Amino acid sequence: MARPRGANRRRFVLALVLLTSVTLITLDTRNGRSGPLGAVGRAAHTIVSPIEGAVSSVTRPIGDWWSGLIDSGSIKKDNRRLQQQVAELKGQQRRWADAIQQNRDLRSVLGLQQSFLDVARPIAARVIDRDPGNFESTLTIDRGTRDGIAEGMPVVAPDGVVGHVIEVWRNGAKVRVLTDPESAIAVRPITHPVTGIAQGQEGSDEIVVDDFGVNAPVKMGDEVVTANIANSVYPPDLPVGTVTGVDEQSAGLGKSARIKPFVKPDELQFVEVLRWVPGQGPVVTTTTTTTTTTTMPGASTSTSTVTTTTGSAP
Amino acid sequence: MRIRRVAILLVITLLLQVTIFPHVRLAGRVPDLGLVLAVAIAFDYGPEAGAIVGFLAGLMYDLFLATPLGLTALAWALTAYAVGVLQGGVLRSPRWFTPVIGGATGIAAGMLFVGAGLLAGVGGVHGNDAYVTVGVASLYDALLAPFVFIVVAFCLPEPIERHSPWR
Repeated sequence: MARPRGANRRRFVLALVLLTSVTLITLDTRNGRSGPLGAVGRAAHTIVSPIEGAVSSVTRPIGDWWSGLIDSGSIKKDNRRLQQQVAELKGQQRRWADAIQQNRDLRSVLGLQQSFLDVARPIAARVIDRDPGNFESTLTIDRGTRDGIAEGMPVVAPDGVVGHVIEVWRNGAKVRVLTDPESAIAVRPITHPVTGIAQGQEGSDEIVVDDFGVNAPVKMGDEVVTANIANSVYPPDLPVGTVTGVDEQSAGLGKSARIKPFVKPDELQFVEVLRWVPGQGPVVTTTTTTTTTTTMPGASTSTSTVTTTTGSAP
Repeated sequence: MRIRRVAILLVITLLLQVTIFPHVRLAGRVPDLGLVLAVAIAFDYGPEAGAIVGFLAGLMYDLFLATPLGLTALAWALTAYAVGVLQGGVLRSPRWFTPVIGGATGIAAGMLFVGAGLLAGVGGVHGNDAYVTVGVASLYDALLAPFVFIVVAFCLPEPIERHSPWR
């Protein structure tokens, strides 16, 4: 019996869609967003980013107003508490400013390299979108390649590490936050050099280190910072979070620690992207200006100025 | 089917999905608006149209996600295709049918996404929270389905006698 032509066409469409999807998934998983696929993605982001920014500008005040309405009972109490905190922090800031200056002077006297934050100027960016999908923890920021941002650069907030750039286009970039299950960061307790790799967990606002040694001096309440390891995405000594729990692994293999990051990605409005190349160090921008004056006998004087801007990693 | 109108619907759906809905979440989750559009089209125009629209809507959405390109396209295209095949016997349906089909396809597409994601080695698509995410997103899909079906019925008058309930 002859099959209807419609049924064959249906199967052809289904097979085509299946094959194309599987091919795209395979290519993307193996090669990442490079080549024509990546170019299409970056073009789409470049077009949509201004709209995302505009929507964010409109929805954020509405969201703030709504939150204010819902939380109106606690706003006065919060205000008093925050004013007291500001006064305390101002006092601390004055003491720290003195300590930072002393540290800078001593480094200079001892001939040590300055802190990378002194040489690599961070790029301030506004968060315009977050988590477009349900299975990822990402932020979209409004600075991109035209502002000097590159894939892999770390992103921080005043509280500590936010994440790192995973995709960048002309006028924006996507940042994977620490709590994303695909995220990993080398950390150490602030008081000890023992290092572990902290990874994000699905559906959790904590990150977990599974590879601390049995005798690692890690305990609840410890603050952790980024560790200084080779090819790390993050510069050393950036604040990451607080240890909320330590568990002994079975058979005495080691310790695992749960860490609550200082930064709450949902509340971020502004972040800073550090000009840091993983495995190389800070990107230092230097500007060289050359002026040449030529005087020809019997002719007018001409002056040309050439300005060259270069980026380097010491 | 009017290709230009479908293209406009796809672009509007994508813009709503990536610019508006990240700010209008239900329990922290976003809906699958492109899936509901593909299902509405599959319901009226059959499995081929549903699969193609689901694939294109998913692929466009994938460009904005950190998960592998093609994963959402695969899940949405297969789900819309299945709806197109299964709706063959439905001539008229009660009003509650639309949100139910929106929710059911949300669960089906979500589970397909999770399954294909696990095979592709994507982190973050396993564990209990993934199933909660699928459930909440499908509830959101169910809430939006009547509106999307109305828009599709308005923009794409169907060529056959059968018609969807929300018009």
